[in-house]
Amino acid sequence: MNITNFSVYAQKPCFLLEWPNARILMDTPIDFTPFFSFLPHVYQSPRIKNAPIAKKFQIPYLKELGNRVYVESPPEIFHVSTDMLKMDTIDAILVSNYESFVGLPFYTEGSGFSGKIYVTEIAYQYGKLLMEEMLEFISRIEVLPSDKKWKREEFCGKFPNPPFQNPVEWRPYYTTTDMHSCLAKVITLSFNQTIDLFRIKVTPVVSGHTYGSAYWTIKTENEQFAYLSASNPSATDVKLMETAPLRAVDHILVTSLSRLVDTTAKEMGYSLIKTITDVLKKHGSVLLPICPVGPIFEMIEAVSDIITTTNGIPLDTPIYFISPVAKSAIAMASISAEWMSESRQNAVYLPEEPYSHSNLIKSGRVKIYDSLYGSFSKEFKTPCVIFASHASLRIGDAAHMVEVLGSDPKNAVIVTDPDLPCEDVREPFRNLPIKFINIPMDFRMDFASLERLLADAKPKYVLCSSSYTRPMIRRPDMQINYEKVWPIEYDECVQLSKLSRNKQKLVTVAVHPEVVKNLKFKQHPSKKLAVASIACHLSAYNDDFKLVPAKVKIARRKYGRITLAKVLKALRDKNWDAKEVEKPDETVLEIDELEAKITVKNDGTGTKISSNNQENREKILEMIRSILIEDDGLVGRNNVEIKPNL
Amino acid sequence: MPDKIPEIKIVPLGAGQDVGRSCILITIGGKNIMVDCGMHMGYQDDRRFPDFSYIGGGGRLTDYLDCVIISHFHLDHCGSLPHMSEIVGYDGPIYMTYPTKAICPVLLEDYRKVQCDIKGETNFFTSDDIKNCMKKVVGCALHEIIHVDNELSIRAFYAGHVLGAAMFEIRLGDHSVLYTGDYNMTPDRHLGAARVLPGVRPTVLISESTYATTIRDSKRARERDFLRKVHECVMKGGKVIIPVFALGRAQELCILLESYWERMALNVPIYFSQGLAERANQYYRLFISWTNENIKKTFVERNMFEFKHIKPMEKGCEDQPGPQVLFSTPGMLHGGQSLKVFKKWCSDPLNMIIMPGYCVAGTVGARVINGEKKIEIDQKMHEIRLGVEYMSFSAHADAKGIMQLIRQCEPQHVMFVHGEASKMEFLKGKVEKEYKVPVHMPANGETVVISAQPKLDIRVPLEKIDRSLSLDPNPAKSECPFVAELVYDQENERLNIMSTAESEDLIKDKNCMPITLSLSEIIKGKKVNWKELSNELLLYDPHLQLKDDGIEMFDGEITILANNSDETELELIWDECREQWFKVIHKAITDLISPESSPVPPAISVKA
Repeated sequence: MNITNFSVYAQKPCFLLEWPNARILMDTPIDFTPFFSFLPHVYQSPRIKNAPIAKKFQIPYLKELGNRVYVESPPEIFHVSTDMLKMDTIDAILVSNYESFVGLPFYTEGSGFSGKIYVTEIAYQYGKLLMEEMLEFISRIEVLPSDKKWKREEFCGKFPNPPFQNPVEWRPYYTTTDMHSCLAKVITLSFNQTIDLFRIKVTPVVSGHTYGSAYWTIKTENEQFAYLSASNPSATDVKLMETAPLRAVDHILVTSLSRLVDTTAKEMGYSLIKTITDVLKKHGSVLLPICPVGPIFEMIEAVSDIITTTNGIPLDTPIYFISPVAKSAIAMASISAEWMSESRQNAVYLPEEPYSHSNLIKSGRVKIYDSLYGSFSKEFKTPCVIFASHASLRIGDAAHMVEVLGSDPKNAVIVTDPDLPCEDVREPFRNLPIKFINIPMDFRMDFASLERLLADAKPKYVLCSSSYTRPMIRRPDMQINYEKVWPIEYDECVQLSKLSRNKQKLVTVAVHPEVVKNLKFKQHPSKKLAVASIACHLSAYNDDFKLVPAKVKIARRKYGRITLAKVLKALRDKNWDAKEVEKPDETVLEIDELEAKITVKNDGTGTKISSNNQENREKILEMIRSILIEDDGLVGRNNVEIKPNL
Repeated sequence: MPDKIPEIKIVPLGAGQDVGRSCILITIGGKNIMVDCGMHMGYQDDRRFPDFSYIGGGGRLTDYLDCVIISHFHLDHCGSLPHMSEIVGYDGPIYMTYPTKAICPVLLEDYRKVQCDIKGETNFFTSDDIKNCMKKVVGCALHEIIHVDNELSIRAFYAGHVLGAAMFEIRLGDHSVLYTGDYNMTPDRHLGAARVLPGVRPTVLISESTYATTIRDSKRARERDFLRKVHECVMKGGKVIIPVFALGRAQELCILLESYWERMALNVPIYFSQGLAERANQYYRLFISWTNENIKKTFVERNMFEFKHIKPMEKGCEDQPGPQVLFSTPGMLHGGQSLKVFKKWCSDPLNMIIMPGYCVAGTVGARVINGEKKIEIDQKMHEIRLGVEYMSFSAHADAKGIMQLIRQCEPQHVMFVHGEASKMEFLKGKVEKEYKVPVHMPANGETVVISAQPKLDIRVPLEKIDRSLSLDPNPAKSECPFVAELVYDQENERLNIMSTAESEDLIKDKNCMPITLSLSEIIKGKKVNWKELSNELLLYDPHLQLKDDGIEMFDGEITILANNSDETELELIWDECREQWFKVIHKAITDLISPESSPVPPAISVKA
């Protein structure tokens, strides 16, 4: 197996696994940081809509805001180059979680990909909702796409806020047609369901990070491998991570570790609750730009508890959940108990829903809207708590709500996405009095947890992105410390076989009963071995290897000496006349009757039968065979035949 | 390691040649698995339980059983579970799907109430027994491979029939048993069709055979008949009672009546037993992903199981005058609300009872279906004058469905359970004739021993596999010549394939040197262009070598040499083991140098 690292971000992995007969892509990540080069798309905001054209460049769609230059255009995405990956040669894509799932169409559409996509059922459902939400947001953008002039170095390179990457590599978002075409290639799996891809056994195992998130065990005849995607051994809401399968693998490819430093997701959770409480107590509103599936389900309950239990916060403080897919997300949460932790799951045995969302909605404490238009604009009141998307604050309802709440310093935006830097999210809104508070909620495994996991699993080798073996300054605890670790650089290809002693590669083959029945074992004269020669057909049809009885005679190896004298005697026995022609190292016997020649090597190691008549070739071949001993495993001895008990 | 010839033993403790108290004991590779642990509703004594004394001699079963599997929540499949685990004694794992895990205790508790509170039964499992039993239950997802231990694994497949019903594959090494439980190969309004993954080929298929001789008429025809009968009865002012189990049939029939009432604008009230109606629909909502695709697609907007025309039954509404339709539990009239209402309505010929499901022999329901006109219920004789209709809405596979499943999963053996002996006999003959596999139909307590076909797997060096594949030019690769030595290590009882190096090492005799046999044929034609020819042949051997005196392929196992100075004659030489390639190469050469062929355009690039 070869492993190539195609992602520059260790927390957004993309690896290609290659065997002689299969190429499997692990995960399809997308990077939203290009959004920060684009002007926020809000519905009514004179401040943004009337932003002046940047004087320095005099391009109509380059706007200036707070001494920064933004592109007024639908925002674009960065993802791994499909040309580098050669998507038309990829046989399968394994998607570990719904965050990776969202990026799928960028890799599968227009790239020549014709394989299959595998993902857990619930990651598919939530991933689909995220796709639909983003496409709805994109469709609301009224601005036409800009030309690409701004992407030249002489323009964007001179921005006060130049892009992090080369924007020429950025791509516009995929279309609804792309999404549907992509979804048609998806096959959904249960946890611990094993599939066979070209004799490679692939199993998604509970990783505990988000609903339906999985890491993968990948096993061939000779390799036991695990791809450790975003995982959380301490999950409280989602199904608990299973670690036992990691003890049965030799190599673990570690990805997607937590980016929190000197804190934990649990501490961040407490901090979030305290911050929301403080803001509400001061009669401020809280805006949480957050993904409409996953941790939001628990947060809605937590916020409701805050309002219920805290003196000084009015009981009728509304909680708004705004998203084109909010209703579907809430409904999906109510039917996903099988994918949840045991404590959540136990609710369905009462029978109640795993979350209290339905009751909160019935009592009016939580209100769901699919957009800011319509009833929300009439019913909206402050103070309140708003859950809305997109977390980048460049498209969607959340960006607009910053403008609505921005003038009041009592209000707060709490940024929780650990992969979107709070300062970049905030930048276009810097001049607004509203507070921006950074509380990253990173539920991925941290280095200490990984160390404990590896101590338990004891793989022969750990592989990882090279960034995980380069410690931050004076922080040796922020790297993977394992006795055998192999870092993989971006675009580097690693051959797994180099990590193993030159072990012989073996393939399991089923033997047909008829073949078993006809085996004749002979006892080895000096060792406690019995040897049998086998001559049959191997069927590799459908990658299912079987030894089946042969319908025609199979050529076996031959032993003995073919001397000229033996051949001449055999010819005389057949009454075939032969004319001898001696040459250096060999003698040619011409048999006119059969229109054939036999060439005999003087050293007795071989012979050639020449004839354009197949039937005659067969006759001579049969004659030669009678001189020789066919390989039966132990040549040239009168060995005892035995029947081992098979 | 070559396996010993494995043995699979199967003993029905219940549902062998009858329906009720389903309980199959499977022994495979030394592991003991109990599938289903049902109750026989037709008996009130110990005969309602499977005969657990068959194993353990009446003692605890924990040491004997490796695991217990429950296929679905019907009482004839799970009704004895608390008795088995808490009274007889079993503390190992109990596997069932998540919906079954949710619903099972509700029905057990409902039944326990009928037995203890209504009938005054004293020697019965308690509410605490049910709770403690359910603590041992492990939920299963469909297609999930669950390792019971290092050797034994199980896997669930969708069965249709009722919410959460599953067929279970029990696997140990290369041998497996697929137990269907109750299943339905035909989708209905709220559930999908039973299906197994491709490639599931069990050693033994244990199939229910409730309708072994039935090929039921069109589903739509039965539904129209049902609707017509209900409509006629209520139009005459009569009352219709439809005894149902709370989950499964009831949902299907409610959807049917709801849409009919809506279409016909009827206002005759339809009631559902109050106790379980709301909870039942909540279970369907919580486990909507186990229903069929149509319901899944609409569930966000509207719960398919919230009915406009069907209301929870209120106290005393069975006494109100005028027509009505009542869905009431339990389904076999073996107690509870349905029996109570039946006693009130059964003497009025205007009324009707529609029995939509199978009734176990001995229950009041079965006697009504059999046409008895006087039935003693609770020590009182009742005249049976109401109309009696038996309509099979049971979501069991019929003969056609059973044959379909056998065709899909190609078992080596078939076993029929959960049906009547004479009907099984009929289907047994049909299966044996069509699929040529042995069919078993044991009675309760009868042991069937199945010796699986011996299966031998050996580990072959990849080099030998590659060698074999390379000797066959056919892309199907289904008949590749394979030659090797098998070594049986008598000390370790291990069978291996010798590598080539090991093989040479065993040969010591100088008079027994390896011999190469070659064959050749002369091909005449135009003067050969060696570069052109080698480009053509690269397709077959990327490592082909073009040399001064000709072309060498497959490391010298095939060579092509000029046979005369004009190079208008070529000699094609091949080793004996390359016989299969001879025709392919010969044709390629002939196509190129034959005088009759048109000139081949010069190759611009080598074919991949």
